[in-house]
Amino acid sequence: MNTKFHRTRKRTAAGSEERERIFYPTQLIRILMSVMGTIAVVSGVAAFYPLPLDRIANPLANPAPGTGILWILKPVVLLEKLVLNPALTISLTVVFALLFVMVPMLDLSEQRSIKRRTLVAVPFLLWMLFLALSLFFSPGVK
Amino acid sequence: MSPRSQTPEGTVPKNFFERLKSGSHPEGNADWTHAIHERVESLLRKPVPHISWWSCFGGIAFFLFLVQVATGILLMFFYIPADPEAHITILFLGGEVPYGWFFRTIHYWSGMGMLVALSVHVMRVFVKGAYQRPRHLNWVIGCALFFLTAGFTLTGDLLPWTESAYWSAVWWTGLVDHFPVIGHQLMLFLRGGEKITGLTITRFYFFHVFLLPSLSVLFMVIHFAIVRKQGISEPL
Repeated sequence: MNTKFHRTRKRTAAGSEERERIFYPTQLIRILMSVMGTIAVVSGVAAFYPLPLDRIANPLANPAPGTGILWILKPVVLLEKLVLNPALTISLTVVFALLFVMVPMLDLSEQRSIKRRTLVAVPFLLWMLFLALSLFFSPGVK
Repeated sequence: MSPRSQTPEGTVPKNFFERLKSGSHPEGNADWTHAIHERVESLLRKPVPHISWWSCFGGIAFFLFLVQVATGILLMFFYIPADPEAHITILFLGGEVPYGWFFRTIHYWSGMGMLVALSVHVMRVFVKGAYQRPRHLNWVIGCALFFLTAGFTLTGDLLPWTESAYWSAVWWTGLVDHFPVIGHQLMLFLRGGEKITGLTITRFYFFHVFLLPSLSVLFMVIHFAIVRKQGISEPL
């Protein structure tokens, strides 16, 4: 039985040799290292940053507007501050989300490199810029 | 070394598979051990493309989902989705239950980690153009999984029934109310009424522990099946 589970080489049609990778050990070791690294990071963060528990919800209280909004909503908070219209904010959010989902249908280019896909590269850079701005300019977000 | 671990010819087996074939069954090369061996070996020797560490984030997100399920089940033993029991049970979990605070913290941070890992995964697929045909359907399913994960965060945030979570939910469900045509009905469906009450906690709890996980598992199965069929996208 062949027990050689190491990286092997295969000969291409042109006659040159190139590396062929097989699941074990290349991929399996990588998966195990990723899992162990993830466990270490999550456990470490959990141990050093325990969750504080806020006061119990009081619907009769009247806090400052925007206090404690969940951080993943930061881009939406910034968008609302820019367009100043809740209906337009939620509509634009849904439209952007749908456009993102439909990227493969919109980008019919056969190029793989993002530098050659201008149609998606420019909106992508704008989105990253907007995301970065929302991290700093969305006040009152926890 | 015991006699069972030797081959019929008396030679010492060299590796796990030979031991499995020769020692685990009195008849040596039995069909069932041979079938297991063939299956395991074909899995281990399956060719994989040369991929970078960036390609591991999808797997990391899946692993964190499993952590979420495990810690979430532990939290379910103590949590009561009602007003004010939701907050009281979280206090009890943090103060009285051994390691309760730790499992809650792990649940929270693994959820955040899952969102971050998925974001990196989606970004990598986007930048590398790995969504192009024939993988376009898998991109749509992956996006659905990403939005479901965001839904986990939004619904899970309200469950401790804290002041900040309450006002956060008031804000974003109020925003949903402004969506044209179906916004108000959608808001009523989410809140369980005009205002956020204990009924909203129960609804969000149902979304968080049943509806979203069920949909996530369904989409994951399809996502992984397509990845297995089409293979991982080759590097640029």
